[in-house]
Amino acid sequence: MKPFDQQNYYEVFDLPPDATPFEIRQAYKAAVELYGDDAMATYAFFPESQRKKILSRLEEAFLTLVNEKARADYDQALIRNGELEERLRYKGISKKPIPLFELKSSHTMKHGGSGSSMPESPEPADMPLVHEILSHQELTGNDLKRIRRELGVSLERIAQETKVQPPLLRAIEEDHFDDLPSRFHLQGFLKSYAQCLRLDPQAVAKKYMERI
Amino acid sequence: MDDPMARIWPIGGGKGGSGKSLFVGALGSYLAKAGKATLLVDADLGGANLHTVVGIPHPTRTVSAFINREVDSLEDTIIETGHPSLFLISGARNSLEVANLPYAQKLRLLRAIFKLPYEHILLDLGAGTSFNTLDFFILSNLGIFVTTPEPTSIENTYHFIRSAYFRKIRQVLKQTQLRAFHHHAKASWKTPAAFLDMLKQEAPGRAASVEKALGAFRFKLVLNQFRKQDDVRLGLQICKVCQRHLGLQMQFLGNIRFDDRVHYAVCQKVSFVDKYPYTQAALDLRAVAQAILATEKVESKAPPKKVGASRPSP
Repeated sequence: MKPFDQQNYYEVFDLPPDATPFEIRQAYKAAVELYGDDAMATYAFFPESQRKKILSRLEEAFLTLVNEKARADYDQALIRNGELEERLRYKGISKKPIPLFELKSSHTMKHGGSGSSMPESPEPADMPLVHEILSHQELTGNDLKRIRRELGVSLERIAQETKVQPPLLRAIEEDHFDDLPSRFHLQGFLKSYAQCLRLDPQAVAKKYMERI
Repeated sequence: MDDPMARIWPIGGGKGGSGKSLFVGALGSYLAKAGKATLLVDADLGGANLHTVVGIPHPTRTVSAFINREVDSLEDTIIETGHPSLFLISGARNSLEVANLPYAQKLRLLRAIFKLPYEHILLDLGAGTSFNTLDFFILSNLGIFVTTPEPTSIENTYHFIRSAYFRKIRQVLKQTQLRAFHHHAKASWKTPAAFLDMLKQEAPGRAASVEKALGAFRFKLVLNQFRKQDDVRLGLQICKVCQRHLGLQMQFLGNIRFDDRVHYAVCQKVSFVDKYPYTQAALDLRAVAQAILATEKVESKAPPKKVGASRPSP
């Protein structure tokens, strides 16, 4: 092990070279608690002059590492000495915070195959079959079903997304008009169904309602 | 001396009253209860009282008999305790001569301790940093420091560690070689690191063997009489400082809660952990004993170079 006064700024804090500013602050705080005036753990361990020297070195290390520019310069100096490799250096790339809900959805995407957000590319309306069906004047339940299948989305997923009961969705796709709710409600359901498949809600609802 | 029959645990720490004897008594009791043949040796030759805390107020034989050659072997001074696996070599009522043991006598005693057929031998050392105490302490690499979370105790412990450190250096470098280095830099004796630096420059070969001997230490630390407002990080911090600035391996075994009932047990001349087995202090002591038994397994199997190297390779 290198003697303390020969350690580089990362080593004096026991930190990896890619430590984040947050970790550096934490490490400095812990170090001051260890070597500070009131620290019991180093009481009488060092001659007073040596302890002061350690403290000032820690401060110098801290002030260098928390300053972005100074740190970059210091890293370059270490690289020139062969003490650090460029690829291990902290690049200031901090991960962006991930909203909790996106995190959850990406999790289900990974495991379930189909995520809560619908297929992203290409735009459903650009797919040949979908485009062809949508160009009709009217849309039947079966048309909706074909589009849904083409996009690879299960009925259950739509039910989960739209909070519409699966039997109702099935009734829509099978044109069982007797089982459908009032026009007002049906329109709402159709819109959310279309939204779920990233189709134009207004157009889909209108074309379906034409036939009733 | 690399392959002792027993695992020898010298227990020291510099300051008096930090609870070394009590710790030895309790640790011995738990090791014996775990089925290990355990011997307690009262190596506090000038102020022995280990017998009292294990509940034997009037020991029939003491180590004096061996030192004064009244008996032939050290084994003849061993007395039984209340537990079938726990034995004691008492130091009670040692004479003035025994307290200030001449070098040859000390060597004879150390060698005899080494040969005793027990699984664990706990050496209860006295306060202070006399050469006798230090030589008992560096008899094995498994020294345990008992200290309390107070500046006075920590100061004495650091002084003790440093003294043991230099005593070990002295043991590795023979007396004459040491004198050769002594005139070099008196100032460098203040800090062990500075001394090692000086040695590296003057005699790299010697420095390597000194470093190896110091690196073989597997010291342990126990914080005794721990009160709830004390800082729980202290133990680990002390270990870190020793590792960092002395290059000494030190493992923190745990805090032992302060308990007034320890005083009552001592006054009644009974073993604290037997009298009050379910107090926090007794439970803490038991946890430390278990940690010691666990390290025993790791360290006796792993190569002695690195503690962390015991993981089996796939």
